[in-house]
Amino acid sequence: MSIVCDTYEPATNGQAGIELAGVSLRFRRYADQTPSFRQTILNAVLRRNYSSASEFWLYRDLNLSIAHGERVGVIGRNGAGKTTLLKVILGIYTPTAGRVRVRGLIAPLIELTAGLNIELSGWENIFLMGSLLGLSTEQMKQRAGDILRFAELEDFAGMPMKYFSAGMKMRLVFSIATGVPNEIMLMDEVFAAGDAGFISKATDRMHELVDSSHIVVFASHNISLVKKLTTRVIWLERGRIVADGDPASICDDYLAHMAAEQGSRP
Amino acid sequence: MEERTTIGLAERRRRRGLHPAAWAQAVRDDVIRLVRGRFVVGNLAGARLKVRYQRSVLGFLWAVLTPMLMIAVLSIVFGYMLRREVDRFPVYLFSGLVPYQFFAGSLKSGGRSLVSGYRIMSRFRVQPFVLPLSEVLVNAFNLLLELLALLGMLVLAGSWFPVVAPKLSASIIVLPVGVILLFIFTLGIVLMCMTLVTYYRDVEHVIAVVTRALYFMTGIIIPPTLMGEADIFVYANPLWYHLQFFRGSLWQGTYRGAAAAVTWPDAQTWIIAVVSALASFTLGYVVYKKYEHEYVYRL
Repeated sequence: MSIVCDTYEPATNGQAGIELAGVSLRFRRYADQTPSFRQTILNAVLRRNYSSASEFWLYRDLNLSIAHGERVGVIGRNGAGKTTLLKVILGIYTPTAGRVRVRGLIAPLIELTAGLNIELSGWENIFLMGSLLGLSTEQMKQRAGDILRFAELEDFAGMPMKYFSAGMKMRLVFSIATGVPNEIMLMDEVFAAGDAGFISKATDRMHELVDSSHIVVFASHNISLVKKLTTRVIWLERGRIVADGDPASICDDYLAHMAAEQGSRP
Repeated sequence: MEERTTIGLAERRRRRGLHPAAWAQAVRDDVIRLVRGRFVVGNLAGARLKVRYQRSVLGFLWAVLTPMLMIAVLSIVFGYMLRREVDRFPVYLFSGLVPYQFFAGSLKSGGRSLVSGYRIMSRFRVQPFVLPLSEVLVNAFNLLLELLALLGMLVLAGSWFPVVAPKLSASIIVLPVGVILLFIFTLGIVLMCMTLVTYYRDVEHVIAVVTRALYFMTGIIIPPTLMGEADIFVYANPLWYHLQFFRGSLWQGTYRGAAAAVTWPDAQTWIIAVVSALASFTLGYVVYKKYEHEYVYRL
């Protein structure tokens, strides 16, 4: 058995870019059971074949190219493949077929509370999250103070995070994720939470980041925000690109489509 | 700025065949990524240790106290039965049980490391490797603490009661070698078990039973010399040879009084331990590379 390596090369022209070429992605659905050895043996003995029945293709031959400077909004209903698209770009899901090429440093803002260890203190979590995002302890030391200050949690840094309120957790995670350097920003919904003061501060920082990143890909259900932030919109429907282009017209089409569907329901 | 090209699974599968150059590149890439991402390993392992010990009064002392108490119990129960057959039974027991517990503990937590690290695997771009590695490192940390405790006790006992208690001899220098070989051996097995557990969750129970069987197949309590014909099960077990490094330096290599009896692991022990460590790690790594990009779909 040989292996094929992903390649890492220095990008020469300094232009960020994302390119998906012929990307297909197949998922297995485990509707009511986790995979088990017992089940596999039983299937082999009884010559049953369950595996193909529970597979489905999210993307088939998806082509997408995002250039330096673009702010792309991804819209579509739940399960259309918006978050998964971000995860494919990020490199969490290796596509079943096709290639993904990414030029630039990625900052993911996707369900980041997952990286927290609530038994640890806020301070320790800053370093844990930082390392998961690819930063060294040294780099995080320089940023930790600012992160805590922005999250307004300086007084609680030493407290285990299980005693944090949901809003405090969100504030810390937001501050960490937006406090690391990036060239490409992948955002999944805006997860700012907390009191009105923090939300307005977070929104400001979000706009700053959108301005300073080379590329922004923003998956959201908040159509008005998508319209405001982006220069290009992709409408996904069951893993297919239905429309790609001008934000205003596509967002209007999408809303009209959703409204029509709503209306046709009894 | 860096350009990364991720190749789809279909193309990866098509290009099968043994290409040493591709493997060399894969190893190099993995090492580079691991060195760059070493902070993840440190933080994950550190988090584990902190959570386990930080909030108890005795803290890290528990890492040493629990096995000590366990050994005290076993020594009382079996030490009397085996007092004629096994010289210095508590030392014999300790020098086998401590590395065995490292192996068993690593297999347990490392085997399910991807499954329990689902939240990290599905949200962050990290090498899957860092999860089992940090689990094995946590267990290795415990192993080192326990070994230090035992060494301390041997030295103290040796100087207080020079006639009855053993003293350390020069053979103590093979102990670090034994730790390193056992670490490599264990990591390889953990990578294989992790793959199995990720694909088939119920294998976890099988692994638990097999590790239990290995307990008896490594002569932890009853040395193979007392097992009669059943000793073949012990001598056929590579783990036995790994534990011999620990027993060699801590039990056989220690002596009473003034008589220096330096014993070294024999050639067979060396060969089997080194070969099994390398084979286990190589096989584990090959399995890991084969499924590296597919684990995340199975969690």
